[in-house]
Amino acid sequence: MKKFSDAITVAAFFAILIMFAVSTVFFQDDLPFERLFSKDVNVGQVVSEYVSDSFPMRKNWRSIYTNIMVFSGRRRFGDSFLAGDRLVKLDKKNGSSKVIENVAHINELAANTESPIYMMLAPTAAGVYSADVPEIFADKTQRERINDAYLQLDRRIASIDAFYPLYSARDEYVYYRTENLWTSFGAYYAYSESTKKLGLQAVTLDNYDQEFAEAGFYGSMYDSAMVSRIVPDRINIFRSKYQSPVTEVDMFDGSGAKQAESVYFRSALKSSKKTDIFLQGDKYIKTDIYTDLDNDSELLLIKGSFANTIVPFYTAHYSRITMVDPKKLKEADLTLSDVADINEYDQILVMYDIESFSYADCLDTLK
Amino acid sequence: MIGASFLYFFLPIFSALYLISPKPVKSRLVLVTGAGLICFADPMGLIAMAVCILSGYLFGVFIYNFRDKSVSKLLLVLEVMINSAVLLLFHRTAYDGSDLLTVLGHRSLLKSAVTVGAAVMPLHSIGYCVDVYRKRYRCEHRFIKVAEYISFFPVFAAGPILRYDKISPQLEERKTDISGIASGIRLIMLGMFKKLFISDTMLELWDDVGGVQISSLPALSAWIGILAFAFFVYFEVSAFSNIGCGIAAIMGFKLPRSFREPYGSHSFSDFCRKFNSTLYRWCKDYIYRSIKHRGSHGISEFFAILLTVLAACMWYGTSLRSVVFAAAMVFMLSIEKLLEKPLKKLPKIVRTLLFVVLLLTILPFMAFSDILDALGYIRAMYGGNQIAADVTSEYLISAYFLFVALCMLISGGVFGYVFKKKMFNNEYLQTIIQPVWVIALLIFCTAFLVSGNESLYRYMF
Repeated sequence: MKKFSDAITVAAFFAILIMFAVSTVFFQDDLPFERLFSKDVNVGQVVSEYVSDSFPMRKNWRSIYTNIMVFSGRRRFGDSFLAGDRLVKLDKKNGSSKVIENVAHINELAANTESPIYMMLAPTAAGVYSADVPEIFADKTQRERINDAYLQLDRRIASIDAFYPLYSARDEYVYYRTENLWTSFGAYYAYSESTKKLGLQAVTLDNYDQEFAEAGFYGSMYDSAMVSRIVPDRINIFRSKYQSPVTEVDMFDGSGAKQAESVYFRSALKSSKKTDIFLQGDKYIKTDIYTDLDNDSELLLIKGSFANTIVPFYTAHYSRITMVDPKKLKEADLTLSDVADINEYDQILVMYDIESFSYADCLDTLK
Repeated sequence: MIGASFLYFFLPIFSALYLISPKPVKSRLVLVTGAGLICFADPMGLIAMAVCILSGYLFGVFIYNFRDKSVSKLLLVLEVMINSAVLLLFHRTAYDGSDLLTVLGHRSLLKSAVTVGAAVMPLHSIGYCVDVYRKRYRCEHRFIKVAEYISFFPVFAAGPILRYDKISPQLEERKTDISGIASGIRLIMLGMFKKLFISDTMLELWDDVGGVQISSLPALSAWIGILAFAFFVYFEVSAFSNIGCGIAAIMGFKLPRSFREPYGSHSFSDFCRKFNSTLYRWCKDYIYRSIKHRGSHGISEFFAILLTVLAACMWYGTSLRSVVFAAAMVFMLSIEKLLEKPLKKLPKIVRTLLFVVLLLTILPFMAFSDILDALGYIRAMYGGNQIAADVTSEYLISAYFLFVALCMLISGGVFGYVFKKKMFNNEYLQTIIQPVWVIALLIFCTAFLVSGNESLYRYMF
C-alpha cells in the first residue's frame, strides 16, 4: 500500500512539474536568448526572471499567494500595505532623501526668474490615511515632511497646502484604492486650494459633468497584492458643462511632436496604464496646452505624476499651460532652458507628491 | 538556489538524467552538476571547488603514503591551511553581504552574493584528510569518488556536513527506488515550505521591528523581533538542509538529520548538539579533539571550546558579529559548566525556559553588526526604554501571530511528537494523505515562488 502511495506521489509531482515547465517554455513569451548572450549579464538571474515572469497563470498564483497572506493576518506586500479597503504605497525608509538638494534647485530656479513661483507638495494616500498604517513604516509623517520642505523654500516661492484639503476629504474618493495617484476628486480639492494662492476663482464642481471613463480599474499596486476583497477603482473625468476651452495640445518627446485636441486620451483605457487618460501620463518631456481664453495668462508647470490629473482644471484659467517633466528632461539629457523660456510665463508652479519629490534626482535639470 | 527555475526545471531535468544514467556516469553527472551550479552563481567559485577537490585528493594520497613519517603532519597542516583560506575567502554570509576581505576593508574577490558550496567543500576536504592521517580509513585512489564526496552538490547550501566513511558505501552502491524518491520529494517540499512560508516571513517581521529606532523600541516589540530572528536563522538553515537531503534521497542517498528541535533544548550544550548537529560533530571531531589533549582540563579545554564555537559560528558567515556571538556563547557555556549541579536539580521545563530566554538575550549580537546596537537592543528587551508595548507591538502581533505560533509548534517539536506517537498510523489514511499533502505543498510553494516579493529573497548562505 505504501509503495502505491509513493508511486502516486512521484507520478503526480513530476507530472505537474513537467506540465508547467513545458508551458513556460513553449506557450509563453519569447525566450530571452538576446539577453542571455549579452555582456555583463548573470545568466542565472536572467533565467530566474524569465521563468518567474512567464510562468503560466501568474495572476492566479499571485491571487492565491495574497489571499493566503491576508488570511494569515499579513497586510504588507512588498511596498504596498493593505489599509482598510485600499492599498497604499508605503513611504520609502532608509532611502537617502534628496529634499534639501531638490529644494535648493527650486530656490535656484526662483532666483533666475521674475515670474511668481509657487510650489505644491501633495501628500500620497500613505500620508492622508496614515492612521491606518503602522508607524514602523514611516520615519516621519508626510505632513511634517511637507512642512520641513516648505520651511527651506526661498521667500519668493509661495507654498500651497494640499495636505489639509485632502485630509479633510479623506472619507471621499480622493485616492485610487489600487494605484498610487489621486483621483479627479482629490485633484479637484488640491486645485481649489491652489486657486486661492494663484489668485484665481475656482470653478465649482456643479459646472462639470462627471463621466465614468473606466469602472473596473485595477492599478499597478493591485498587481503586487491581488487581495480579492478590494473593490476595483473607477476613473472619472470632469467635462465642462459648457464647451471645453482646450483648442490644442502639443506634446514633445525628444524625437518629435504630436498634436491632440483634448487633455483626455481615451486610447489609454485600452492600455495597461489606464490613468494615462490624463494627458498621456508621464510620456512627454513637454506638453503645451492652448485654450481659447483671451486673458493672455500663461502657466509653466514643473510636474511630477500627480500633476496630470489636476491640469484639466487649470485649463479654465490660462490661455497656455506648459507642462515640463524634469525626469524626462534628464533622460533626454536636456535642461529646462532647452525647452522653455521661464520668463515668458506669468506664473510658475512646481507640483510633486512629497514621496517622489524626496527621492527625485532630476531637478538639477531646472536650469 | 530556491526559485521556480529550480523546482520546475532543474529538479525534473537533473532527476531524469540521473535516474536514466548508467552507474559509472552518475558520479560524473553529480560532479558536473555541482560545477554547473557554482558557475551559475559565480564562475569564480570554480576556483574554490578545484582547490578543495585537488587538495583533498592529493594530500589524502600523500598523507597516507607518508603515514608513519613526521612529514604527514606537515602535509596535513598544509591541507588545513589551504582549505581554511578557501573557506575564509570564498564563504560569505549574504545576510550582511560580507566576506573576510570586505570585513578587512578590501575589495571582495567575488561579484555575486553567493559562492555556492564554499561553506561545505573545505570541511569535507579537511575531514577526509584528517581521518586518513588518524588512520581511520585508507585513502581513496579513485579521483572521481573523492571529488564527488567533496563537491556533493545537494549539501552545498546548508549541509548536512558529510563524513567520508559514512557516505562512502552509498557512493559505491546507490539504491534508487520509488520510496526513496517519494521521501526525497516530501523533504524538498517541506524545505521549500519552511523557507518560503516561515523563514522569509520571519525575516520580514525582523525587518519590520528593525524599522523602529532602538532607543524607542518597546520591550514587547523587541522580544517579538528577536524571536523572529531566532526562527529565521533556524528555519533558513534547516530548510536548505531539508532540500539538500531531499535531492540526495532522489539520488538514492540517505543523509543524516541535522536539526532536532533545537529550541526545545534544556541547556546551551544540548542546543549545540541539536542545532546543525552534523556541523557540531565535525567541529567536535576535527577542532575540539585536535586541541584538547586526552585527560587535560582547565585552560586547554576552555581554549578548545572557544575555538570550536568560534569556528561553528564563523561557518554561518565570516563577520565580526559571528565572533562576538561566539564569545557570548562560550561565556554561557562556561557559566553553565560552573553551575552544572544546581541547574540539573531544576525541572526540565524550567531549564528549557531559562535556556530560551538566555539564548534570545545573546542573539542580538548575531543580529546586529554594531555591538552598541546589540547592547541597545538587549536593553530595550528588558524595558530599558521605559515602554512595555505600543500600537506597533499590537500590529506585529496581529499580523504575525499565526506564523510565530506555527514556528513555536514546529521548532518546539510538536509535529515530531505527533509522528513519533504514530497518531496517524492508519495505512489507508496515509496512502491518501501523503500524495495530497505533497501536491498541496507544491501548489502552495509555487504560489509563493511566482508571487513572492523578490526583495525578500535573501540568502543566508
